[in-house]
Amino acid sequence: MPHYAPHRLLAFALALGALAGMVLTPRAHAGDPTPFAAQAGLDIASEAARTWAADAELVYVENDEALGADGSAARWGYLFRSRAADASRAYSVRDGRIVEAANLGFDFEAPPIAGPWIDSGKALEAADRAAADYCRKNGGRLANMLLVRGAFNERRPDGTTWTVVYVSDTAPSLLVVIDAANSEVLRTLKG
Amino acid sequence: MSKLFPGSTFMAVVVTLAAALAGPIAAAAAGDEAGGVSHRVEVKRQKVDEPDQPSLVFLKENRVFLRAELDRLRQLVKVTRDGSAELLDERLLRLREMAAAVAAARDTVGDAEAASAARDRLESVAEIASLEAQLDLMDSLLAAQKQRLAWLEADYLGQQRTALVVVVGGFAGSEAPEAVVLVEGDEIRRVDFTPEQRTALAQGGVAQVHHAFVEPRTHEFSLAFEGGDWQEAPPALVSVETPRDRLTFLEIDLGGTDSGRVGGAPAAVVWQR
Repeated sequence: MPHYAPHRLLAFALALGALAGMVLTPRAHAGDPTPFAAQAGLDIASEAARTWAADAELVYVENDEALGADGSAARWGYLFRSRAADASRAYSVRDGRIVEAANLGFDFEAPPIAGPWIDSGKALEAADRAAADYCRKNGGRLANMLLVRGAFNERRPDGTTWTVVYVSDTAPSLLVVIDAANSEVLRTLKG
Repeated sequence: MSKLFPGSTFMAVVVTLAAALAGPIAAAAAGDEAGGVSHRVEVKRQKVDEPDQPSLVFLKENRVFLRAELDRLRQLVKVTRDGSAELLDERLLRLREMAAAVAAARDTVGDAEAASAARDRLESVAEIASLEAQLDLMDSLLAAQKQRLAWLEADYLGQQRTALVVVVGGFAGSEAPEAVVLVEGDEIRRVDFTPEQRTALAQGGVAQVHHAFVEPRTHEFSLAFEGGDWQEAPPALVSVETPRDRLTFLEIDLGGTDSGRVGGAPAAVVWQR
């Protein structure tokens, strides 16, 4: 067995420790982003959208990062549409800042969101109750929440709805459509 | 998520700092010894704080599905105004009342004229008294009419907007130009004179070349003339202040200039009402 001087062993240990630290320590951010409900990021996104186009209207909201059980996410995406410019622009908000702003690369002529709309937490409460059986039987889990007007709402197409998407490894996805005005479960879809 | 090996991280930082600082310290010492200072610019790519995942993933991955849902909709854009009723302009009501009063006064005057025409002579003191009453009525009708005219004038003056009238003159005894070109900023206005107007100008008349509502500010005009000797004349530059809600007249008298030659500056007279 080779014999090493104590100071060389110490240097080796330090280097090994440094390597282990780099590999095993999770990415150090200034602080993990604070999850928030969808409405909390709307103000700053709307402000930016007005700078982009004076007639910008909110047409779509979606969680950009994983949803918590309370309907919060660390990042939400807000899509605005300008009729005058015939264009759509998305703003992704995290920690009260716009971390991404980009024009949508395809046509998406969704109608403007009609307010007021319930926040993501309240919508998720109602959706979880409707999806409880699906999740229990299929091991389903929450995947996405999206706020849009007109889609998935055949009874009242003028209304704004939250659509909560649950996915499973063994069954088709479940979409629970919630009336964004009163958290009523309007319908469920599988696909 | 908690850090798994906080101690090792600290050691890693210490080692990294030691390794990073050793070189620069030695280099700095060598530089000082050499007696000179050198700068080396190193370029590194800036780390961009990009999101871990793109935005609106569900929308992008399911856009055909979502657009199919939206394609089944028909959007109707309805423009609605505030439901509160607007008050009528009191002046309109007042004008209607005045028109009715004028019509009534006209009828009254007509009746009085007819009565006077039918009367050959005054047959009694009572009729003299009746005539005096008619004269009093005429006076009161005249007073009422004066009052209405005063109200109309006050209303008209109260609605005054900022306006500017530009007139040119001073061509007496010389050939009048065929046209004048009035320039303010990017706005160019050309006014052609008819032969009759040119004759009038040559006889000392003035011509209105501009009359419009304007912004209440200082306007810088350039007037150029075309035709005959005036083709060579340099444009006249005139500055005029147009006070708010006033009608400003700008009269440019070219009597001091020689047509077609660089003569004296045109006299500009400004007045308001």
